[in-house]
Amino acid sequence: MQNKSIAQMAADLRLRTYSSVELTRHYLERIARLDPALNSFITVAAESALAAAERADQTLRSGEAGPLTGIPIAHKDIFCTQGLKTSCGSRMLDDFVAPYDATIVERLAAAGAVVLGKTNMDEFAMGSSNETSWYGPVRNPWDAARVPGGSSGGSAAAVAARLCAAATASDTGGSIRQPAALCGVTGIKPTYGRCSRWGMIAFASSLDQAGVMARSAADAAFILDEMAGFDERDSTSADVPVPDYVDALDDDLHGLRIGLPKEYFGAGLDARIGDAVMAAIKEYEALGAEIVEISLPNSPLSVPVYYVVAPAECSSNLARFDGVRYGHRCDNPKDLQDLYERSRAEGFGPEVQRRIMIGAYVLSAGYYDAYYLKAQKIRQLIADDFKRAFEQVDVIMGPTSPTTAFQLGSKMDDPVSMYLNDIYTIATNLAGLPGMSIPVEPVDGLPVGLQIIGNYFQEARLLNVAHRYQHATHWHQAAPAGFE
Amino acid sequence: MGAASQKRSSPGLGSDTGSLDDWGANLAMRDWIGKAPAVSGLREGRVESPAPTPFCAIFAHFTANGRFNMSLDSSDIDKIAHLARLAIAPEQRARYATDLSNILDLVAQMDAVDTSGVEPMAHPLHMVQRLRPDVAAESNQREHFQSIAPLTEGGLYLVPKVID
Repeated sequence: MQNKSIAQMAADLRLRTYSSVELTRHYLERIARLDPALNSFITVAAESALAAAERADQTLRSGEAGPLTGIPIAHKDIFCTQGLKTSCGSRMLDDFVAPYDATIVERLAAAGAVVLGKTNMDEFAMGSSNETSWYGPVRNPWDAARVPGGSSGGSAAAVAARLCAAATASDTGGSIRQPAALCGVTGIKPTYGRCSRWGMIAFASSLDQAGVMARSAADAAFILDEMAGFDERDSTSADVPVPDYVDALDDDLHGLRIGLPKEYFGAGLDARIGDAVMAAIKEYEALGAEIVEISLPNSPLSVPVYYVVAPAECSSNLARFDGVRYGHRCDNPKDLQDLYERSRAEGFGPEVQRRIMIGAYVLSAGYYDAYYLKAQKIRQLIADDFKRAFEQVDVIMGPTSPTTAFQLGSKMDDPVSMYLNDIYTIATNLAGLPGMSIPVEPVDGLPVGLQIIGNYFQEARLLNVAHRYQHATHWHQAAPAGFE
Repeated sequence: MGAASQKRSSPGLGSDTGSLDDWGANLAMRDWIGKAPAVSGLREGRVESPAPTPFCAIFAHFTANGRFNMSLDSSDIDKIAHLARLAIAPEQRARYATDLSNILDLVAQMDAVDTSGVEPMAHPLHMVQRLRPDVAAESNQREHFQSIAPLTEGGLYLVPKVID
């Protein structure tokens, strides 16, 4: 049951092959049995999931069901859910129950999706290994000694382990694509502003974007169809029409121009990952695509630029956590200053504190021009590189991550080496472009991701390009041992 | 330095709906430059004393090859932690100093780029801030909000005594 596509599940639900309650019970049983070894969920919401499944079954009986009615999914714990704890992976929000639903949560609920629970994540989405979570690391279903990637490691692991049909996620510097690559699932980060950020706990507001993890591009298209679109409550939401992503999946790829940026295949890339990515590019040639070598000369600067912009915005966004109105409060504060400083030091983990301090430093008086302004200028140069590239090509392809999943604990003592995991993904966030990762041929039994980057609002094209590859190959169907 | 601090508020890149909360960080910056505004005093129940030395004098170092290099020590961490309102334990300072210095060394790669004449990106899609009519759209959820607060009484949020 858990290996079926969302379209197959939707058809089965309509034919009463099984009910949504049965499907939901099946996933809840898998979570109870298999997740203790993975830790991909922070909160499992069995009771509310079964109640939603019963409502979905009524809708199915009434004949008014949509494609997601009764489909069990999970939300990254960064999205506010009314009545269900939203921790953002932090001790700071360990007892936080949001008084409202995030827009994307609301939209997926309106579409009839059943929420199984909230997935684990790096604290406040800061991390590339899911090891900064207050709730402990998530383990990679392909090898329990390895990380699932981050920050949406719980969503990626849960989808890979077939503990939900799909999961929401968010991506500020690669947090959908990198864990999708490391766990062998399909992830899409849409254009900045494509999905509402309302109710998504803010990390770096000029970079944050909600998206999807699924087992295929087709499944992701069904979810994104419901999530995407203008939201007046998010002042950065894009008021741009949303095409039907499912409709475009089968479009022909003849004549598709694929750009390969030479900077994405240089030193630092595991050669075997380079080979796996090039084998996938060959497959695209067989599907009628044309390969063009391109250059994104400023892309190597994306990591330094990101580690100014993201911490600066995070130090501002996380200033709200002061121990007064909600969130963790220290015991026996001696005065207000002590209340702020100890509540924040106890509530935030070391990586979040590092980034808040970097942000406070780069925004401090006399340093604005040298850091934030300089970074925003180079950010424009990075975006200009993509603009020139998209005059020549339709999509850009390369590796998602320079390595396969690494060992738990191996990079936690060296923040900078951890940051370099996102060397191929950050540039798209800085430019605001949409990007995907899809599984290609594994290396040593570990998943490898092909990254596909599109022009602004070209999510339909990305999903189409990913889907045609998945139609021609079987890599995306592979399940980790013990989770088949 | 004055110009720089004025510009600081300008990026405003989509800070989300809770923008009042962004004050915290900005206030922290302002008290560093020694001009604690009245609102800071109100919020914290006291007025900051002027900070003694600007950052630029403390942190800027040049290595032998002339590359801008950042090396923070434990006392720098104290100052930054104060700006960030984080109580950093004395035994953690050296570790944070090393980590933050390494991150700033990574960031220093930006210095090699000629950005003269480049307009800083204000928004990835060059969108302008959308405005809405100034009418209340939210329903009153005071009881709900107070139910998740650490400490309340009689409809008020309780904090330690701020005026002796």
